[in-house]
Amino acid sequence: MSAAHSWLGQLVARLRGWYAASRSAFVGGAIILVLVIMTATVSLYSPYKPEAMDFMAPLSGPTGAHLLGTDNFGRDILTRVLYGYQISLAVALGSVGFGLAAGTTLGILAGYFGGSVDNIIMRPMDVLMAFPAIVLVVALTGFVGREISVMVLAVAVVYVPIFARVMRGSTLEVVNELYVEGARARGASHLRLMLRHILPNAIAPVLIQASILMGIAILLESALSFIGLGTQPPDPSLGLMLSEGRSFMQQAPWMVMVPGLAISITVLGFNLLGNGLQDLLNPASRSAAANRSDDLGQRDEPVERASKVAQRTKEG
Amino acid sequence: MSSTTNGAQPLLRAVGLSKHFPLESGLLARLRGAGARTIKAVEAVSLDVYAGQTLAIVGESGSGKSTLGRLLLRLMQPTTGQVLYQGENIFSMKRARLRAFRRQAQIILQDPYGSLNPRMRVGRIIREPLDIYRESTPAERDKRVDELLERVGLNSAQARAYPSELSGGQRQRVGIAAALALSPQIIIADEPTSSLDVSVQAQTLNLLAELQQDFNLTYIFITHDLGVVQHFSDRVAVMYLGKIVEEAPTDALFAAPQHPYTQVLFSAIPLPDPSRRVNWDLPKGEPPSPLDPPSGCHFHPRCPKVMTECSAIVPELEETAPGQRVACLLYGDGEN
Amino acid sequence: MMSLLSVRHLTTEFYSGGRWLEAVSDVSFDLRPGEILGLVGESGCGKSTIAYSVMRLLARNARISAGEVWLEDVNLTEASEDALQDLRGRRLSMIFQDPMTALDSLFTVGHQVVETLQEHLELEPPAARERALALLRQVGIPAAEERFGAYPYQFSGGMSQRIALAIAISCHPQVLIADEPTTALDVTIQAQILHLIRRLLVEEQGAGVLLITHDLGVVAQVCDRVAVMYAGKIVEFGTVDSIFGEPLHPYTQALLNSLPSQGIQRGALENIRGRVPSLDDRPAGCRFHPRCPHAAAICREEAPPLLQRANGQEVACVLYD
Repeated sequence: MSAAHSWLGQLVARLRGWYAASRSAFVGGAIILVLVIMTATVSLYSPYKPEAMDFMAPLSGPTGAHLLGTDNFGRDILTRVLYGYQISLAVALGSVGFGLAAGTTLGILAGYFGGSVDNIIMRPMDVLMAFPAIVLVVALTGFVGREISVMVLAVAVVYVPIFARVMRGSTLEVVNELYVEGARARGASHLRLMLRHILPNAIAPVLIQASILMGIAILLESALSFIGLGTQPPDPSLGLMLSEGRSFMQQAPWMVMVPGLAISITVLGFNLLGNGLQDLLNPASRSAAANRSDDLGQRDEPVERASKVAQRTKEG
Repeated sequence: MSSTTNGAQPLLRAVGLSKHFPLESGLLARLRGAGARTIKAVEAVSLDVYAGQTLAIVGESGSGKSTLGRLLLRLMQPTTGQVLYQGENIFSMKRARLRAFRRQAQIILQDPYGSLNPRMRVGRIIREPLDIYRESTPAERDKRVDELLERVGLNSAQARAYPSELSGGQRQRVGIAAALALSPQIIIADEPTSSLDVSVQAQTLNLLAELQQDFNLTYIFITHDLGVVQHFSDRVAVMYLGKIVEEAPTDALFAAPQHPYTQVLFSAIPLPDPSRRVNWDLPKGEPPSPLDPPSGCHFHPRCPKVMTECSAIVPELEETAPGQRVACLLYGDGEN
Repeated sequence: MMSLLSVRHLTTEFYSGGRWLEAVSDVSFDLRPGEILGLVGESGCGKSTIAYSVMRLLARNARISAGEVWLEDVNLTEASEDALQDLRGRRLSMIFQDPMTALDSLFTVGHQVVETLQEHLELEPPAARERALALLRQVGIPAAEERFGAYPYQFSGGMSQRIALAIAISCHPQVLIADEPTTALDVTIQAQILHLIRRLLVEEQGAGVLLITHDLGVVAQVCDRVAVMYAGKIVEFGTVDSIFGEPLHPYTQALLNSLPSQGIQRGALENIRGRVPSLDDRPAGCRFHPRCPHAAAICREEAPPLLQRANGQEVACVLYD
């Protein structure tokens, strides 16, 4: 009993700590966590299949049987939204994952070696970046086909240069750190320098970017499905639901409101998480946080703190 | 190049070493035809380092002392010149030889806050050189880490700590332990104590002295702190704007600095002794930009003993006393 | 003797880990006109905190919990923010280790000097400009007229510190607080800046300078009197000649002996055992006792007060009772 109690107490304490560290990341992370759990387990608790039609209740408003109403075929909207999330999240995860892996690799190589390697990698990235994302995605899906894997690939192609550019910038900062030079003097290979010394210290901005791009990927997937290039009916998709709901806006506004709101909440969650991570991972703002609360006695540098104060008064 | 000390062969020797950094290599600059603007960070430096001794390289910011230190370890490529390690040019070493050289020549970096990877535990940092060179078995490497920690005055529990959990002095000890891990012959220390408090600096210097005794280490101290130089080094090379202006045994140099820059530098050091006052009026002006160094002797615009020919003639380093070399027209034995 | 700045029983605390910790404990001293008073000690001893307490520029997590600071007839610890704003820059100035702290990178240096002058001295623009130019020349900016319109980033560290000094002395302050003003500079430039401070402020204007530094060499060369600080307290106070000639407190002695110099054999610098205690872990009694070679039983229990000896030197140590 008391063991369980202390376990719970610890959990609460830890959650409080996270909340205190960054409210934004905490709320964003919580939104996403809840969504992911609900989505992943939807088949366990939902009484409906996403394609199952209830011919008795088409265009039904929210009722006990259909919590968020039904569409024109009598399909349960809540169920479809949750199944739709599966596709949205898969596309977002897949594209961000691929973009992150490729972009980070290219970015670190460009930043680390510089010179002609940098040019060879980054010039094509610039060209790709100059292309309007949505046009690129439309072109790719239009060309290759309307499958989820194509959509993932299309969004990933848009993301690679973004990740590469962020990683390159962050690498350029870290590569001149003394500890990198020290490891080099000790005979560390290029690979070791990049993996052990640069990557862990340069990845933070990329992760922040990844969180924000997750949100944008969900928007992109919805947009593509909305214009008919993404998920195809009868598969559930948030963008597709919006598009289908348009014709019934007068009779059944929930058909667009529910998926619309769902998209907004998800994007909000990822943006909050991204902003929060920025505070948590950025050393400058982290030291400001430390300045505010703890470890004053641990490191004996009130001098340093004091000069920050001066800075502040100058600015203020 | 006849300056021998105790008749010994130098362990490391720089010959005509120069490093020029190109500037404005961008497209616009090239179009404008501004082509080859360079910073001559190190210019035609020749220097001998003897085994078991401490050589101090002193100079103010922009003197090129840190660049020289990096060249001596082949952390960058020179524009011209050679560094001979036991007679072999380190810049023409192939992979295997270079690895062997890197084992023998290690570096301790300045700022103990920036020189340790913040995301690696102390034990891993010290172990890394052993991992790189695949020394013995992993278990033995861990044992070696413990030994090294103890040797530099830390305890083995601290292997689990991250650098941010240690004080400045402790971090510098971690840096020293990592440099020692492969039992090198030469250690280049770039401002090893300049960011430490006086009492911590004393502890660190004492440790470095002990290690030198125990392992017959050769040190190259790059520093601007003349108290440290006087206390710790056997020989001193004074740099100004990329060139060595004077090189001498420490005692001789402090007893009678010959180059006017050395004299100005020494006169500006605030000694912790109120009865020996600084000559406030001696230092004139600011060091010129290394982008656009003065003609002739680089020091002539600030030199209290400037002569008319100083702006025209570039003085060469010449031996004025056994082991003492000065680059100044005041000491030239006639025309050359 | 008359004093410009009088610090009385100053105690400053930082809020950390849920409680208030003393960074400066019961510190008292007087700054006289025409003198440079050195506050010397290692990181964490509280010397900079004193400076920021006097200027009332403490961080939000810091507070003056006891004591008073008087600038002649003004109680700075009770002055309103408006009153302080008026005093700072006019009667009380400060320069920092990083001169960029005092300079705004978006405005030309000339503009910044002129602005300070106009804010406090009600000068017409042409007169202010003349005055600003004269100041820049005084602090040794070559070709001041041409460089009047230059931006801070176009100056070297030494030149920036000169400009910061020009701004700090523009309104003839009575007191200048200099927090490690030359720590980031080369020795030849350091000599020039320290010399300027002494000549322009102390000798010509009779101002008082509180010089905060960790560099005992700088103290020996430019200060008239010195306060040696350890763990938030002044442990020894006296003239430069007496402190360096005959240091009394074991900490001062150890500090001076730990300086590298020629006379001491390599590897034989004095080691002060242990390390400076952190704010939340300061020992009871004399704060130096765990590291002191002369520590006795009483040192663990009673904090020795700073008492004056026959030669005028003050020391906080039971060895001299």
